Amino acid sequence: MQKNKNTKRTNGDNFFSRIFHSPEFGVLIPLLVIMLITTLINPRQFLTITNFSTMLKIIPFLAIVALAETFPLMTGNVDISVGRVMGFAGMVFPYCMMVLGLNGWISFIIALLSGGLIGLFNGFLIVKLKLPDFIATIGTLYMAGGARFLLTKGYPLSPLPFGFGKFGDLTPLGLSWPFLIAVILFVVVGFTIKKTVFGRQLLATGDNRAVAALSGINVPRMRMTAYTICGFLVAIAGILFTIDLDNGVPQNGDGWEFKAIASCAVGGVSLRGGKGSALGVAIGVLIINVLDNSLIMVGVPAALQKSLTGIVLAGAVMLDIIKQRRKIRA
Amino acid sequence: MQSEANIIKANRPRRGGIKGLLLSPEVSILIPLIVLSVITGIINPKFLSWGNFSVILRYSTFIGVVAIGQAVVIMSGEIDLSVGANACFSGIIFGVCAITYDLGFIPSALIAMLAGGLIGFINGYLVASFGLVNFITTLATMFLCHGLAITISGGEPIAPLPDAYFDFALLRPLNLSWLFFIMLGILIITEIVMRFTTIGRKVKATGGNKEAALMGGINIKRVKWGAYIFSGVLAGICGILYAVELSAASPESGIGLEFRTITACAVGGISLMGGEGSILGVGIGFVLLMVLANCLQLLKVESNWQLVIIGAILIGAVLFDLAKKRVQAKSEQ
Repeated sequence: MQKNKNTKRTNGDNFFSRIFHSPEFGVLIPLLVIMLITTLINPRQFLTITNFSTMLKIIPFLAIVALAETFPLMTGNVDISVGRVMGFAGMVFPYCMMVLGLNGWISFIIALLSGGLIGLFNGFLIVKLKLPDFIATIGTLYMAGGARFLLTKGYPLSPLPFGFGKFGDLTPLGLSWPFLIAVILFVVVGFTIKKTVFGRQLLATGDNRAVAALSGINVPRMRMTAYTICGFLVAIAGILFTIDLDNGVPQNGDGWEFKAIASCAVGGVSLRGGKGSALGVAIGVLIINVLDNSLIMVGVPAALQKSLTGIVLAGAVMLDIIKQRRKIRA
Repeated sequence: MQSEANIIKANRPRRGGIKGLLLSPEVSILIPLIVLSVITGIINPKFLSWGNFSVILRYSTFIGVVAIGQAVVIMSGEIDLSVGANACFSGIIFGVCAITYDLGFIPSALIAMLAGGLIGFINGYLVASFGLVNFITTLATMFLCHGLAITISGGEPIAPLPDAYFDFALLRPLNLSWLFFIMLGILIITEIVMRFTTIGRKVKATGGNKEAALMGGINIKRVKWGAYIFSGVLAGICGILYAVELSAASPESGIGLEFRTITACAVGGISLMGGEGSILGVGIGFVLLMVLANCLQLLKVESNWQLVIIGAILIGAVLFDLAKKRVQAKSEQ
């Protein structure tokens, strides 16, 4: 498997050329192009506060799931189970409170742990037992997918006790809580990836496992940690979504695994590992959502939207490969 | 995303005699199938009638056709997630050709198979020649196919197909259906090709050890390309057969088939790291899955538990495969 150093960047002298050469900038262009085209075609409905605030309502949850997916992807693995695990954790939380009668915070921690444990289980299967990542996470996808329905025999749990439901209605600084929490998570993760030894080790693990091991990184532990963090973050998304809806719905998160992977791919996370940034993922999530929204605004039939999403996904990954090839030649 | 287990295996010579037979992968899958059948038969004697079993076999036709293609792709070291959506897309194409344009069966079927093959061609190009990650590529084509299927059909089933097709699907030789025998024919031909011809060896060599296959003068790109096209055409055939069976082409068909076929391959002893397995084993694998579903139904197990069980079986089957390889590697040292 070929891997090249793509984290290395030509350090421009001034601030602007650095921004211009950053990988995030490249991702930003399609977002701006999409928004520009949509604005030109349908300015009345697209560039409105209502439209954007509707988009911002769903984006934080998908964004956190995509951020979670970034961790396995950075280490060169993939996690297909994220969507169902999100639904599962989002059910465990109200289940603990309303069926088992536990305290709100204890339930919160249990739900968080349930996600983390599934992540750890994925990591264990893949790293210790050497299952192919893809297959192992399809297995947990099935298991979490069935388990979330088993908790309540498929019935939703609503309304949440302890005033959790009202929590979702609060709007600090004119934004929603999930949005703020997502921003905080992105900042923390972005800082961790870029500035800490741990982040560097994660990227090194994905870039070239043999080299990483030779330079003293505990590669198996890194890969397992990535899966565990992924599980925790996904659980956070699930719990927040349940709180926001004031309703635990088992179907939450269905199909989000593919949206999350698409967001990461579009956002410049290399699917072969070793490359990725929180900012890129954030832009990737925006692109996928704005694209969905734009296609409706422009009047593309709903059925074709799925096809276009597929084409955009393939296109984004192809661009990534073309860029890498150019760098190898240069 | 390939593991070091790839290096271990090569085409091992088969052992003869009864011991060899017992150790052969097909027999080791047949045993759980028999055990499962006997247990279910004891609990519910209805299960062991040919009437019940022939229904299981009849319904295994559709997953079977697709699983054969998936198996060849997996043996070549790749994976195909687009099969389910592709079957749906090709089925719609078949329906449109047969009903809207009234082209007759053979031209419609050929066009549908071509459509399926085209999707396989795209997958092959992007994965083998362009070097895209296999699951992302086939995920993208899955979206593509599904969107196209809904667009072309307008979200509604295309029905009814000419009565002659439906009458054909209702024929019951041996209480099975001709559609089942078509699948069986494809299975046997593929098994023969994969086991006894150089094509089969090339596919397994490509999946088993890429570098060694390259050194051995195998055109890896062409092999992978071929595997994807084969899988695409078979998905197309599945779409046709399913449309004939239902007498309608539904844009909802084929959902989840990708995961079920991968599970069937894993259970059927196809190494998911590529390079190993037999089509006959896959045949037993998907029948085993169907029997299991039937058995859980007879035992009145909730459908959500079935999901959990399928997931556990998938992981268990792959773990078993890995453990077997470790034992083999040790005994060879």
